[in-house]
Amino acid sequence: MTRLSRRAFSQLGLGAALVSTASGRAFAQAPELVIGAANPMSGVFAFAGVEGFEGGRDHFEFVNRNGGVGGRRIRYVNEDSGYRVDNAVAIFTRITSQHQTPVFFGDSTGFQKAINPELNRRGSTVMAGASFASEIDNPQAFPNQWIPGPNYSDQFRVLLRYIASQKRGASVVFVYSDTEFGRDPIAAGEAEARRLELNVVEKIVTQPGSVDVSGDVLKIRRRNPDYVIFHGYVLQPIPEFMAQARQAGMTSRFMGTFYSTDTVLMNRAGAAADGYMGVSCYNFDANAQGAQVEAIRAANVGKTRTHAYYQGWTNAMLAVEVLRRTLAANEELNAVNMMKHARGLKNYDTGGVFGVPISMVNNSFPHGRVYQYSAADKVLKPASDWITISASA
Amino acid sequence: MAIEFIDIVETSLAGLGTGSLMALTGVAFVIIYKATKVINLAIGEMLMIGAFVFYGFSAGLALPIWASVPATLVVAALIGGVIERTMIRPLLKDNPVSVFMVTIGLTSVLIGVVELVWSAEPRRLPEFLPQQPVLLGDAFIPSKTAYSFLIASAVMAVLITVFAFWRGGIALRATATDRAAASSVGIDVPGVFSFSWMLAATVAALAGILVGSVGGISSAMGLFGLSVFVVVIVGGLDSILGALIAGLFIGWLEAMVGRFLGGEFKLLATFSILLIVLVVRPYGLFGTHEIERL
Repeated sequence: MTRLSRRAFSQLGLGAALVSTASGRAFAQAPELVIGAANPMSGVFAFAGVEGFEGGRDHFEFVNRNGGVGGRRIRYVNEDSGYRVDNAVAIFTRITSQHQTPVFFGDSTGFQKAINPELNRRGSTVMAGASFASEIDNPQAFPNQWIPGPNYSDQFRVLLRYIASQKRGASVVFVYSDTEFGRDPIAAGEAEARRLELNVVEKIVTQPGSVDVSGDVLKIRRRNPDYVIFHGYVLQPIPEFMAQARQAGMTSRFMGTFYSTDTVLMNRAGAAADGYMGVSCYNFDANAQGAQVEAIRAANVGKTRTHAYYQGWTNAMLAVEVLRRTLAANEELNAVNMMKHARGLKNYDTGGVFGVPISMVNNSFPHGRVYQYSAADKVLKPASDWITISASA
Repeated sequence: MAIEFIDIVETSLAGLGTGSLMALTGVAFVIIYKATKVINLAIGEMLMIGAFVFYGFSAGLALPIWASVPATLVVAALIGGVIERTMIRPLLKDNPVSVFMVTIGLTSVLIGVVELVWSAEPRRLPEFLPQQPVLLGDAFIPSKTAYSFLIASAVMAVLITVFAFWRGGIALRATATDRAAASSVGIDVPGVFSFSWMLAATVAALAGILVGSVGGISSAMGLFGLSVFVVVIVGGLDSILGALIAGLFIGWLEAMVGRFLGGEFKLLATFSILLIVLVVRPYGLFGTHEIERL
């Protein structure tokens, strides 16, 4: 029987320790940059979650094909949240405990608010996501998050400034769902309307997913406003409102915010959506020029992508830029450093994804444009120039 | 803004239109409860899957409406029959809570089926109801509201007549009253159970087509069933007439509250009525007094 001397045993132990340390060091220096995400790949918001995920995925593939970030590849780790806050929190905890995750994409306002204290406590991860909530656009309360466009209040401001440019003293009705999402921009919208000397003649609250639009249409009909602005809906019941209003002989123009302004959804609504106007921060001009929009077209030959895809792409693009700037400055990838570089995005060229150079104000990028849907051409056509909301607004 | 009489008339008519759809769905619920004593919490989802099947025929296969509607009703009846035969009947001798829990599970199954086949994206049904608005004097009624009301009323009239005079309807009522006695006089009680589920699924699918034509369809449209539960509890779980009257009343009430107080008060008003009815007449306005509550 072979006997192991004390010296031999110690040498073996030392060797094992060196091997494990060396492998551990190699693991710590893995070249990949992990970006986590909790997207709703199933459930009622799956249509947006899948598109948002694919937008991010396509951008990271584009970046990896072009050498990665400072020579490091991006690894995109996504799990299905089902649009449930508890699921998203569990996914965040799982992914960030398994990987060093400098950037994480959230699926909803609810999750991004719920995880915010933990995000601030850790100080190692910054977050972007699907939310445009005005509440998140506050650097003091949400120091480690950004919004990939204008918040809902600024989206309302873009619409109202467009209205003011079209008709002085126009009458406006706000229609919104009885949800946190729906109520978000209403107070700011009223204040902006007062400032622009527009008349908000009615505010109509509906149940989310309401089928009973006829009573509300009657309410609008009595006011017969120049413009009706919807907020807090994805698609329904906007086309039905428009169809019934036309039956009633109304001449109002109908408008909406980001999630109800989408070529794919409008195409499904068909003729009922003709003439609908909505605000977007993304560039739907088919002839837009720039490296990013050309990459989007190359990744989507023969496909029409939804708004959510552009949102996913934009979040990924901003994340890559923030990582690139932080690594280029030879700084640690922590939340303080990354947000410093995020806030340094001034007049940043998005390669055509936004129609103008963008700047971060508070936690958002307050640029938008009003589009109008043409059912005949099945496209959203620009109705206004790009409008930027200043910080003082 | 002052309230005008025409406002009240128009809002009332709109509310009755929506109420007729609640009543129709409530009738589907009552048919099952009356025959089998099963509280079917999946009635909203049965409505949803009927609407999606109609979407599949009319938009997916591009069949004309005259073919899509009957095809949908046949498929819905088959779905109802399969649910009864495979999920409900094996449990009928067990604790009613078991069956109740199965219907809760059924909601998830039906939502899952719809999301697997059609995805969770909201969609619009092809326009098949006349587009011209209906005018009653000076009162304007949106066309879909008016035609939905007429269709739902006609279907309910047929159902009430059938249950009153047709042998199958009498068999169903006999089974509801006393299963053992019904069986002893030669009524095929399991057959009545299957028939009730198939009929209820058909009625729910028809309601789904009408609801979907107004508000569009999505995997979340089963939430419509929430208001329907209020309707059947207020009307009485086993009363078709109760579902009819309560449906129209709740629809009217929600429209009036939404119009004159605001949309945020609709559910408050509805559930306040529910509480009052449960306190004053726990068996509902027209329900049988012996109903055992779960």
